[in-house]
Amino acid sequence: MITNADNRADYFRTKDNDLWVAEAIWGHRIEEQPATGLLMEFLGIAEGMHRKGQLCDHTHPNQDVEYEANQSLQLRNILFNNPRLEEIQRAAQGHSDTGWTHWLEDMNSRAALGRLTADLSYLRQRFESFDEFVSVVRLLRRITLEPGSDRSWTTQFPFPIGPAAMFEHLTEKKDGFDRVRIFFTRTGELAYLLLTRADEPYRVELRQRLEPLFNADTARNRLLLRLISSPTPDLGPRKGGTYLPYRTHPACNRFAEDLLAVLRLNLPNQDFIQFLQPLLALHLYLYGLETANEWKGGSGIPPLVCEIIAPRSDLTRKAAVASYTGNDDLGTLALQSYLRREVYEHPDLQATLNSALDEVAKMDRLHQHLVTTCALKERGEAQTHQDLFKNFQNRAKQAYESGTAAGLRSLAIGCGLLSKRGTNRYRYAPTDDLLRTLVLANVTDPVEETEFLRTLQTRYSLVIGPTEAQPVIVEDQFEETEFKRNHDRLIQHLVGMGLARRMSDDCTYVLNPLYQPA
Amino acid sequence: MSPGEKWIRMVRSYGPVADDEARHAEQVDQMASRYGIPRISFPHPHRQPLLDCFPPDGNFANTVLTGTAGEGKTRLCFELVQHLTGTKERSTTGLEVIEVPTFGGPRKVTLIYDVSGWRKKQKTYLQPDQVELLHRMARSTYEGGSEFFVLAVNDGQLHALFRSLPPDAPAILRDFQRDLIQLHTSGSTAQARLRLLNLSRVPSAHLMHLCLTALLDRLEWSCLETERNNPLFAENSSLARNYRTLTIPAVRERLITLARIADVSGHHLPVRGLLCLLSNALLGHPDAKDRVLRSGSEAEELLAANQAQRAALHRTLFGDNLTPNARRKREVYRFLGMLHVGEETTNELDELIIFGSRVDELAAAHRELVLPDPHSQRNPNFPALVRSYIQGDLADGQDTEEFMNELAAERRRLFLNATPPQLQKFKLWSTTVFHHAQHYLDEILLPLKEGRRVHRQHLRPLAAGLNRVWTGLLLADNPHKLHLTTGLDLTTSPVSDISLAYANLDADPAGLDVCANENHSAPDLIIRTGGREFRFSLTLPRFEFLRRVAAGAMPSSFSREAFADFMALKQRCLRDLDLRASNQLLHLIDVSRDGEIHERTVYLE
Repeated sequence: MITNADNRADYFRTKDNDLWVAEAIWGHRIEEQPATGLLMEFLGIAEGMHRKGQLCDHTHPNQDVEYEANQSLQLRNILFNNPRLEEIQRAAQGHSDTGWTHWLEDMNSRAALGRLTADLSYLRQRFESFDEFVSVVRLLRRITLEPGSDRSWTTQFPFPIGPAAMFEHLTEKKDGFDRVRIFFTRTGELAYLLLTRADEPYRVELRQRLEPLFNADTARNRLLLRLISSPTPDLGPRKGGTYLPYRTHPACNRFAEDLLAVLRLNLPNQDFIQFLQPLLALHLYLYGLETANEWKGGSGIPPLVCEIIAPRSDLTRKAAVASYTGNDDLGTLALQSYLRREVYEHPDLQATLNSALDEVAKMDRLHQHLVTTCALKERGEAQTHQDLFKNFQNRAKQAYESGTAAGLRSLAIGCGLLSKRGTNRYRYAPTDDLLRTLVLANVTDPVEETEFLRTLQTRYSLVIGPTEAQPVIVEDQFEETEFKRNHDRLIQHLVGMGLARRMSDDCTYVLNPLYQPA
Repeated sequence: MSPGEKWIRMVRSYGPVADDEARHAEQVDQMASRYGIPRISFPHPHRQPLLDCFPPDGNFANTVLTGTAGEGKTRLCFELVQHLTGTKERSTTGLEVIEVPTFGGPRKVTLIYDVSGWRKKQKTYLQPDQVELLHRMARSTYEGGSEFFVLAVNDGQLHALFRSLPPDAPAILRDFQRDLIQLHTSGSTAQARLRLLNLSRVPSAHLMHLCLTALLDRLEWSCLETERNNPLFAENSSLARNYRTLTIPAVRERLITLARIADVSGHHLPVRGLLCLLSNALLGHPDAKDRVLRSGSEAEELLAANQAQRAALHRTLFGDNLTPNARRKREVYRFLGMLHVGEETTNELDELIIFGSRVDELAAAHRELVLPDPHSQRNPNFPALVRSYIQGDLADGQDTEEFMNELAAERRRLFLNATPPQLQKFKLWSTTVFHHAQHYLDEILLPLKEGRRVHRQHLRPLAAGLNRVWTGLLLADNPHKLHLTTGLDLTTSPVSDISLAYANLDADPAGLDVCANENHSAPDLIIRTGGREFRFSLTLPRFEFLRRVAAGAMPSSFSREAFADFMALKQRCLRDLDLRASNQLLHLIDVSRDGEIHERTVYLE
């Protein structure tokens, strides 16, 4: 059982938060994070660990996994803090010297390079002409992740074509940069930690297959390094402090298996990253859900009833809404269960609260206990110790809702599992992109459709067809025909995407066209 | 009951009223024997291939017959037994063992006719004796011997059978399962002493031809002449009109073409589905109980109501007389529904239908295409509806909806009844979801069928479509090269302008080609460059997508699923052709306003 005391360890640093409850359950931490942030934070820690020669090495819950992330300040300034480049090029009218002079002057006065020199004249030796330099910058700007987003330049990232582009998030301050955890919220690092607790054979193979992504010597990375003065990118100060409470957790192997399945397809270039994004978010979400369910007293991932988007609302939609709502409530129930088992029912505390001491003394004792176990900072007002605890529970619940709950919801939306499309309530409705990712991660040789649906249920608790739905849905919400239609819509989508082939007699094979038998 | 009425009962039994598919064959046989009328049948294309698995020299092969329910598996087994032993007797247990003398010595053949019956509806695992029988079949396949097996099983049941093997089943059975599924999915037929004959692999077009002949050429149809007093067979009955329409060569040809379209778009129409389609096409009527005609007082009432056009062939063929549920249950109607025949259109066609009788310029075309209606299939109220439409008299939403539905039905009538030259001249495929089907049939399938190459000028639009969807650039639409490009980030980047290689259409061998595939009705599109080859199935949906993109449709807005399909194909293509950008430089391509390509180089170091 993942919640057993011997499978967990306490946090290894000072707990700075206002209180420490959700963190004890899900780790430090899961919080709302844009998809780009999740991906780049994950790649950042993996790249940092690779540089230390420790990529996918095993870690423990009470181990502070520290690393130094790239900052690549020159690269980022050139790409994203460089508004006058085109204007200067136009004005130079092909005269290289003129262009360089004006541009270097502009950057010298404006660029934010921290402790690095603002003199970018090394670039003149790297490019045949100013025009060539501009065309390379344009080329790299074209691969900016989420280019339409209205973010500050320190929150812009190019697609990670090489390790030099895997840098950490920064915020500008008066004379330098800060590393406030708002875009990189630690959730991406938590995903990395999940992998480090997978079984050894998985970690060994992951290391071998992920290493090419972090190879500094590729042509694409050398293109990035042309914009950086040093042979390797500048680094930030060492950081760590992300915490995954569990020694082992089913999410670890599950995540590793899917990543390996896609890596084994040997996709060209960095195409793997296209599938890494949804897998990161999906597996973190399932980790969150499974953890909540275990703390609540259940087992495994609770069912996720999915609607394959239907033209109009039917029972599958209602069931999918109910399924999400129920799962969304699990977090609060897990919280209550944790607080009861791990905090309130502590024998010493109970002895005090049941003793003949007066109410004030009891409240003091309770408060002290909460400070010790939950890092509580502010006491709050109450008349009785029961009220004190109830108020504390409410605060813990609020902190969970604005923190971890919002984080889990954004993960489910980010991977394409959760949506309000066509309706006004959130429900599980996997997108085609997510379905494709699931096929690639789970199918090698062609597999019959019922077996594929069974795999989706066994591995991810995804419920789509009537066979899987009937045991998990309440009777008055289950209608076989409607779930059969849901199943048919899934097959139709897969066939349309080239991921399934219909034989006759309701027999369809799900295919992975990218799979190459050895 | 008159001979005609018995015949109609027989035809009706193939229609959508019969729900219990499993007992269908049995019921038809009983009816045939009771009425003394042979059932509807034809020599199955797989008969000879099955007999070839049991040659006189004794080099037999264990044979698995798969396909959907109602493809004729059981009958083929009976024919095999008769061929090998000369006897017509059949077992009633679903299992038969015969001794066959051969030049190579005596052989024992066990036939399992119907696995579902044999499995006795178990909820858990197979019985030990059943496991043992499969075990013997596996051993015969891999280890030899003089004992052989024939197993007749539906596609879906093939999997269910192996799912119900107990966990301690011998390993050799898992090998057997793996090899069978490999044969099943790859479409190939043979592996040492094992053959898999998938009866569903007979092209639907061929089956449609056989079904049309088997049904329409029966002498029993003489009842339409000899029993005219019967309301079912009267001149004005929908059955008589539909039969006569269905026997028009152009209409029969149209049905075979539709079945061919099924084959090349990944659908299979099984024999029972086709017979159901044809039975309902003839006998369907929205006002009949069960939605299908029967003899008796009901036929009389329907004839008296004089609304036979409500059951016209262009309506019943698409199952308009059936409930949505009944259509949804059957693959053949799901397929036809997917085609959306009559729901799309062109301005020219609608002008012809609506104004053709009023505008001089359109009169000749109107007379040629719209007016001919030898068997009164057209809605006699349609001209009045058109008049109301033109005069702006359609009162409310309901009237407009009725007009639109009748207009769609009229397009369907024209599509079904047009001769092949008319189909082309009036571009009637534009009334379906496959606007370019004519090009596919004439420019791609026909030359290959005749052993010729696909002409290069017909490959250029495909190259143009691929260029646009794979590079994301608005390249010229008469290309001589197929550009294989990648994005700096992803190979499937919407704008992929880093050139890796190109395939030259004018080279020898051509960089782009289309060749027949012996295992599929749809041919393969082949891309050749750098001494390597990549091929994928050029189904009609993929062809349609490429042609539309070549003509200017935006790839990602026309069909998201098809776009995703092509992106995955690109990924595989670049991987399998082992195309990588150089380590020293990148060739970027730029497109000018007239679609011409300009290359420039970016040095990486």
